[in-house]
Amino acid sequence: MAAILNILVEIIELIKKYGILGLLLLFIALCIYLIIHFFRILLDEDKSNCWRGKVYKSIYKLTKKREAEKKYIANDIAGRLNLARRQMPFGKESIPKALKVEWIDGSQVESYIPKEGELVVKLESAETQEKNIVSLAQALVSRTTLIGVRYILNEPLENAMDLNLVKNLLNEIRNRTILDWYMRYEYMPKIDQREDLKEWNSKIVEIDERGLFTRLLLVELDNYGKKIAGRLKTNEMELEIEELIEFLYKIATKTYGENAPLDYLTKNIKIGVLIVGETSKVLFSGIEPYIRAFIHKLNQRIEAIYVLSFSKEFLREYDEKSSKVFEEIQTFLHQKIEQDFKVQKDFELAYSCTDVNGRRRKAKCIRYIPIY
Amino acid sequence: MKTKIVDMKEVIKIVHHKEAGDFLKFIIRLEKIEEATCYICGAKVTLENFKALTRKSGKILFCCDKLECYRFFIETLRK
Repeated sequence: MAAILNILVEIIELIKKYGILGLLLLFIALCIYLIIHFFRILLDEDKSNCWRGKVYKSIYKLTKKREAEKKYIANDIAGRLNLARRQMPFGKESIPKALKVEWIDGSQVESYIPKEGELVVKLESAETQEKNIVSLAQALVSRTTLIGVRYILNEPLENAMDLNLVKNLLNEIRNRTILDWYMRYEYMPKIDQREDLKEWNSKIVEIDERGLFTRLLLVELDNYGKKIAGRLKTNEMELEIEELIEFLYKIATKTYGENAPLDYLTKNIKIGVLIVGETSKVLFSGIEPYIRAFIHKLNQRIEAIYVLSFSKEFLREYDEKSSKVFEEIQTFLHQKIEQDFKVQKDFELAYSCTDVNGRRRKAKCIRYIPIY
Repeated sequence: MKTKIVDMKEVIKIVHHKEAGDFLKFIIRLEKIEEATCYICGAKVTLENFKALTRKSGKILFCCDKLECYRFFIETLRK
């Protein structure tokens, strides 16, 4: 708000100083800004789909033509779901995969032969677009996530992960009506059906609230799927995944000063976590304890090390100096890791989340792959 | 260094509710079946309650429009 006021004051000053010329300069600057903004939308397929959807929606409202309705439905769904999934980073990729919707229409209706594995979904009228979006979000998540591990997961755990992936995807659309419809008619009834599903779901929700569902758990499950590709399911595999979730749940629910295991070593999963979150520890002890912990993980021949940083969002407001030092120490830690150890930085994702006490925290998840 | 996001696309075919009847009739003729039944609940799939279909191991599977059936249907497809 203060920034907007400042800009307004500056504009008034400019007009006062240069008169009509100042106004003209402002108009030209605004035009340039709008042209750049327009081209940015045009170059972004998902954003332009959303805009095309809006245009066709207006045409449909005016003309009630089916062609306009179809174009609205398809562009709106693809644009919204694809923009939403871009907010769900999963390592170097996004999860789920991008969606392309294709109508079976016109002469195709009476000649189209579905291919093996192809899904054909009937969509309702444009008036109930929320339901259409939910239907395709469910199909998309189901068909493009947890590839290679679904056959190992027990059913309630698999359902809990799918439900939360769809919920997250719909949440990123930033439309309360769509999310509410999903929560009321799909998510809650499904959760209430089974106790075991409810239990797994509460764990997934906690992990997700700390930002570790798509950034850590799904990344590890994807690697796991690649590692065990073609192998028969065993009880050991099922247990390995269930215990990975327990391991992350303990980290996600860890309170200040509480200890939780930070390494998870099994036959097929070898990961370590380093949490840089206790402000006092970082400020008073520096990076030494973290470097020692990193070396300990390398000595155990861990295959992926996640460095999770959580900084207090409010720290800057009440102690700007400490906040700056905290940020500098974190940056120094990563420089030291990359400089002193043979590691490859796989990805770095910055996000914001809530801690166990419900406070907003700025967070960062960096995945290192040691080279032995 | 910011991580670059890699993209791939999943194609889902969609059919308009006013054209779904003709499509369903064509598929029933193509499959040489008397009537379509929901793969999940076994109910008769009509022009009104048709929701989705797929081909699995060469056979066309239908799904009715009950929320529960659609959910199970897409869950079944990934197995």
